[in-house]
Amino acid sequence: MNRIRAVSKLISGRLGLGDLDGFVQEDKAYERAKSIVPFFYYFLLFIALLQLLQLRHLAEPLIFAPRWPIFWADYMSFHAATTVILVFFAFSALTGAYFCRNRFGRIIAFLGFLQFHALQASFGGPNHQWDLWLWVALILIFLPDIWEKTKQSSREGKKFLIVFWGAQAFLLLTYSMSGIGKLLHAALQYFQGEAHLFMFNSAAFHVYSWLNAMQATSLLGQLIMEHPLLGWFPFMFILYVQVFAFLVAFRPSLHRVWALALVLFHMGTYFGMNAEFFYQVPLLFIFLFASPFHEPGTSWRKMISDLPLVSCLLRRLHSKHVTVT
Amino acid sequence: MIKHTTQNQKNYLTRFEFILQGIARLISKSFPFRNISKIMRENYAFEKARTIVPFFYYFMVIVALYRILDLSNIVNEGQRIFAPRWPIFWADYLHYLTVIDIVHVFFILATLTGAFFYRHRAGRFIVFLGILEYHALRNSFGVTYHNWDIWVWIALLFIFLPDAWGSAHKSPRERKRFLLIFWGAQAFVLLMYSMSGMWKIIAAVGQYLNGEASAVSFDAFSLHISTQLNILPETMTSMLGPLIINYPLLGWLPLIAIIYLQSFSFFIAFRPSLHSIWALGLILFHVGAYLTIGAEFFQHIPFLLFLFLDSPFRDPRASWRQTIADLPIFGWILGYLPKRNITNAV
Amino acid sequence: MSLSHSLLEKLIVLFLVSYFVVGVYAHFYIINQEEVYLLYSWDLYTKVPPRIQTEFAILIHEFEGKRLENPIIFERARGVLYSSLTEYRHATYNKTNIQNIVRLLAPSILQDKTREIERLRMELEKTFLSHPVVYEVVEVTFNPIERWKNGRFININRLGIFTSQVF
Repeated sequence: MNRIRAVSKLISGRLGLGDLDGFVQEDKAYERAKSIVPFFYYFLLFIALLQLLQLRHLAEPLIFAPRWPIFWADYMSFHAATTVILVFFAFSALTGAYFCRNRFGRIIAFLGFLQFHALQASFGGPNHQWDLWLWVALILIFLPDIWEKTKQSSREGKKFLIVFWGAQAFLLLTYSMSGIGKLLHAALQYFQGEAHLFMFNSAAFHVYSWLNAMQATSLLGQLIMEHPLLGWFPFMFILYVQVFAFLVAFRPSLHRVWALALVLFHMGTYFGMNAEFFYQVPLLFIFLFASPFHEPGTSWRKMISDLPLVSCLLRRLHSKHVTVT
Repeated sequence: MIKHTTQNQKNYLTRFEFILQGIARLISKSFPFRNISKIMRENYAFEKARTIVPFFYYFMVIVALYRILDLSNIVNEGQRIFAPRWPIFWADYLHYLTVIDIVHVFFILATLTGAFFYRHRAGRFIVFLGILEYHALRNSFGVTYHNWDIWVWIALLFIFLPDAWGSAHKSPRERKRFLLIFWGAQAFVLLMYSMSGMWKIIAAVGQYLNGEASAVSFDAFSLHISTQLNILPETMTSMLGPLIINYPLLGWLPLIAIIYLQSFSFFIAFRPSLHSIWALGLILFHVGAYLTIGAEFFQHIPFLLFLFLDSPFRDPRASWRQTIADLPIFGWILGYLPKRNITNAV
Repeated sequence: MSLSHSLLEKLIVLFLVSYFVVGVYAHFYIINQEEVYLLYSWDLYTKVPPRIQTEFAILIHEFEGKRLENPIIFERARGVLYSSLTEYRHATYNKTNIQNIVRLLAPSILQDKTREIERLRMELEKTFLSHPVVYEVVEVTFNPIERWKNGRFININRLGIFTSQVF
């Protein structure tokens, strides 16, 4: 146990993970988080209602292989199954929107979304567009039901914030996984003598191969392919933002900036490669832009000093300076 | 020249003033928002409203991004007819495709600015401009899409919010002004529904007196649905339409309920206890309208959710008795019943 | 902007009242085919449609040289005119409603305005009937519920039969 503690202390020391206990204990953060959570369910309801629009244009798909959450769809027609799923999704989301302060409401909302998500993934291949929503809906089930309490204990408030932070951290983790995956592949390709991520025309290669595979065009694709450097700098920036996204979970001063960067990343992939992942954007706004842990009026000095890599560099410079003096 | 009022004129004025006062008393009795000042003094209402407003701006960013996906449709639509509305008067001097690019880019940039700078009036103003330009573009193809009007008007109203996010403690005066504008936004949303309900009532009376099918006819909803479905292409199916056409009585009560819901909507602006229930009713109305006649007005739903579901004016201590007593017509009837009967009734 | 609370109240009320008044006024303006941008009366689905309705329609009699056993009204002729749903959607997406053209074509036929008939026929055939079809412009009287359920009309007044020239 002591060894585990020592290792974890070493990791947290090296990575400069912020004082999680510290900012989770703030009353203000709790009040803010309490007000923010219902918006997840409001957005979910809006998404559910928009899905109802599909009901007027249902066409029999070429492949329909129901995933395990909708195993029962095998016993009815595609049209009937889709109608049941979408209507249940709408009503479960409505329940969630009205009763998000009760665990029961949040469970119902999750179940409705699980059915919808399974439907989207039942057409021959996985559909990851909605994965984050599903996992966040699952995490939020574990929030304590303390909205109605006028005075909650600091323990309960802390539990609430830990779960909220968990949703934030999960969101950021997925981006980090994507970024680290890109880095690992870059290393592999480099050692195999192939084209790799750090080459100046890597962005242009990406854009070309994606657009070619999808037989699509994009707003900025041609420009990037003709001027590869124009794409390389944003590409490196995106890599930095993705790789270090999980660290930002522990740096509240960077929550909003990172949310903006990730929104710009999604815009960039659409304008550059016609790859649309706008479904994640509402989550970035709810959990990062509106982060209850981010203090309004945080100074830009604090933000810069918290930037991954930059913070390490500054700490080294500071310790050298202290040693010298 | 000194005007002397005669005794008759004085009597006339007194009677007129008396009538006016009577009407004012009736209105204030019907619309008692006696507690609004008290509510506005409470910090929780202000804090709630202050949390809700930013989400309007966050939502606009998402809307702006999704509008980009519609770009090719707009390009096609404009090839048939393009008659720029007054907010994009400058479009006459530029190539059509350039206009589309400018409007969409400005929309995204404006909403991103608003997401970051909603705390400042300038930021909120820029968002309004972005929405206005996009709305004008979307309505420049010979057809008017009123689904989007609400975005423009709410963005305009929110410009007038005081910049009250700077510090935790705000003076009661600033809190009150913030809540007043917020309430104005709520009242505006409800006013639109009331206007729609008002026309339905007027038409119902007119058609009934003319001996025509009217909103009180048992087959009214069936007539609405079948007329709509007859003109839609057969690929547009209606989930609940066939059921109501085959069993008209199933649609009668929902139609009456919709007219009740819409007509009294503005009244609800003064009844915070009913905000969340009314929002639910209106959301179900939109869903029902889509599942029956295919009328899609889902753009209003975010406002019903953001502004009403957790209304800052709703007293968390209000009982269900208060909620029922606040219901239009039903609450009034209960109010006039002797107290003993009221206890039994609820 | 530091308006007093009571002035702000009055301004909000003024805004709401103005929107209402102009919206009501806009209801009457729309009769002259004008609409005030951003101001609307919100009179949607106001009147209950009558139990007996009359409108102009297109009946399809022949398709690709084959006479149909029962003429089909255009809105129900998708299966005849288009080989697939995709083709139908592609052909009709973003096109004006056929009723907009038929409502002008039918009176032109009644008034024997030859040039107008040719122009509207060209637009109709180019947009919706670019197939080898024989079609008829009719005036139909019906109960909307019966029409939807059984496709039955109370009366069909035939105005003119044409062969599509655009395909």
